[in-house]
Amino acid sequence: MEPIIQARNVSFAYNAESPHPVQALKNINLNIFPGDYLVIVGHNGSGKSTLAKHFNALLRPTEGDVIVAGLDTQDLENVLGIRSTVGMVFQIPDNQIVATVVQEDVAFGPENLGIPHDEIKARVDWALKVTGLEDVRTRAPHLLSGGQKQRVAIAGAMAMKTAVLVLDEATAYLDPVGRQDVLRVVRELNTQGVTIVAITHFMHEAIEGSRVIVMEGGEIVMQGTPREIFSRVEELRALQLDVPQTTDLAYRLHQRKADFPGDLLTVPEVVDTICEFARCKEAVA
Amino acid sequence: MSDQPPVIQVNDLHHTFLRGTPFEVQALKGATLEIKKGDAVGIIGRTGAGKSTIVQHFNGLIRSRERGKVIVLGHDMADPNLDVRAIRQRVGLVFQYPEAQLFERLVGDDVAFGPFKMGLSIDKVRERVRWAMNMVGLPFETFKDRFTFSLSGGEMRKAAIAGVLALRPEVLVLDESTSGVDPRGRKELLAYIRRLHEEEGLTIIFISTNMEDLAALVNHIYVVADGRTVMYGETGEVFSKPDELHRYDLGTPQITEVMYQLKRRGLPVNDRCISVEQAEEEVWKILNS
Repeated sequence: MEPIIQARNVSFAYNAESPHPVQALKNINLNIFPGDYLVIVGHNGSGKSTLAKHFNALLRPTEGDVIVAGLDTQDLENVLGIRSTVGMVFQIPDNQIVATVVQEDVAFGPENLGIPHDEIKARVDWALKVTGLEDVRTRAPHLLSGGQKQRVAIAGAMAMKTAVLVLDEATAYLDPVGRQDVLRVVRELNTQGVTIVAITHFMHEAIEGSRVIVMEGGEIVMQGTPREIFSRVEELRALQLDVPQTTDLAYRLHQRKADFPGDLLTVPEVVDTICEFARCKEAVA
Repeated sequence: MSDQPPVIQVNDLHHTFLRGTPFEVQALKGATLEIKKGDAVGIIGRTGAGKSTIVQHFNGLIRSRERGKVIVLGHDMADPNLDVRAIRQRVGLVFQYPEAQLFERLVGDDVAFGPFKMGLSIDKVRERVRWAMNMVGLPFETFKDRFTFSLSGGEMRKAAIAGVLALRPEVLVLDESTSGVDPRGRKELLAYIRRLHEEEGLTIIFISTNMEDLAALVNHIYVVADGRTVMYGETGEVFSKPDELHRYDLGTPQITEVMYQLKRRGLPVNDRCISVEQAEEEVWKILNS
């Protein structure tokens, strides 16, 4: 399968021309395939947002290439094609909402693409349905909750019908319920075939992905499935990243009892495993 | 803790935003809280529940003229002759995007703004700024002459918190002041907040949506839902009732959830564990008994 986004030896420096360039990305190689759910984790300043901005030509590499659906981001002619392929949702939804009525905000993108009215209406209806915003479609966005606003921003990006959706810490400012709402919508989109690139600080959100990369100092330092990444507790600690409490507990028990699996991710997994071990012991006794 | 006098008492508080307009929103419909001196108290609830509206009554940013009573440090906030400025010095409020509270060019000046406006002498101001900056991990000599806007996100938050601390408040209210920072910055901020509570004896009121952070910091928790206070108790006690919390669209720390489910499956564990260390020992007792 052809990757939909390819980063080849990508380096990027802010103020590259100035005497004090800031090297934000160092030699990144990454392939993102259609249908992937890629999660990028790392601290502030690790380069994750900088990398994401390369995926829809908001930034262009100082060295190396980014190819989106066969289009090189260096070529300005390609920008429209790239941005119709990759949609972006940012951290603070208020900065991304333009209209005074929810459904008009969602229609803003496709309207600007010059799409026929009926098609726009169909897309807006679909986007509002998937994001669960049908009840508030005629409300003013600024009077909605944070989670609702973020879903408006996502609906707006969805209505563009892009093949890839990049979420740059889209859940950072939401409450747990708002966060769950957004994750549910993203999961649904992914099952409908949309490629997802999600950037987050929340390690437990990384479990959602099919693949995780960890960034530090502008480089990819870990890469693998969530289970592979989270079983490397010591490395994550050394990077001062959060380890989910479930994984932490499993890891500690594994340290004290070697046959207890150290790579458990979810609450049910941990509960089931502990029960199993407790029952085995009873049986022996 | 229980023998300490209350610093904040709120009784049946009601508040409506944009009252009398088509956008009228009834934010508080009966909030009742009592916060004791020297306690660390968490307030949780989903967005729109009224958490921020409640704490903004604590220093008179909002003074509701509807039903209910707010007593802060013994002062009735409804008293028209009240010196609100004096209350604001004693109850410091740090908002959700504290970096937006910064406005001076240099970090030291920004932190000094509050005490300077209090009319303190230059020496006194300097002493307070030094203390406040050191308390949040921005060493005074290193950071006082830095440009405010050259700071990282986490450092900006620390500077904003220092600006509030420089007023030498007795009560520090943090309204989601740790959200949106990376894990490294968040852990650091939490450690400094804990130190303010434990070593300096500040009363801490902490609004957060991160249950793990709350579990690590606060002794008591109030749950707010739809403008009302609906649950109150010790942290472990509140988190040991996940079914009730789910009703208010809230979760528990993952570890409490694990212990709760183990108990439901019939294992004799203490479901009030709020840290991974406690849980490890509990589970180990079973696996190794």
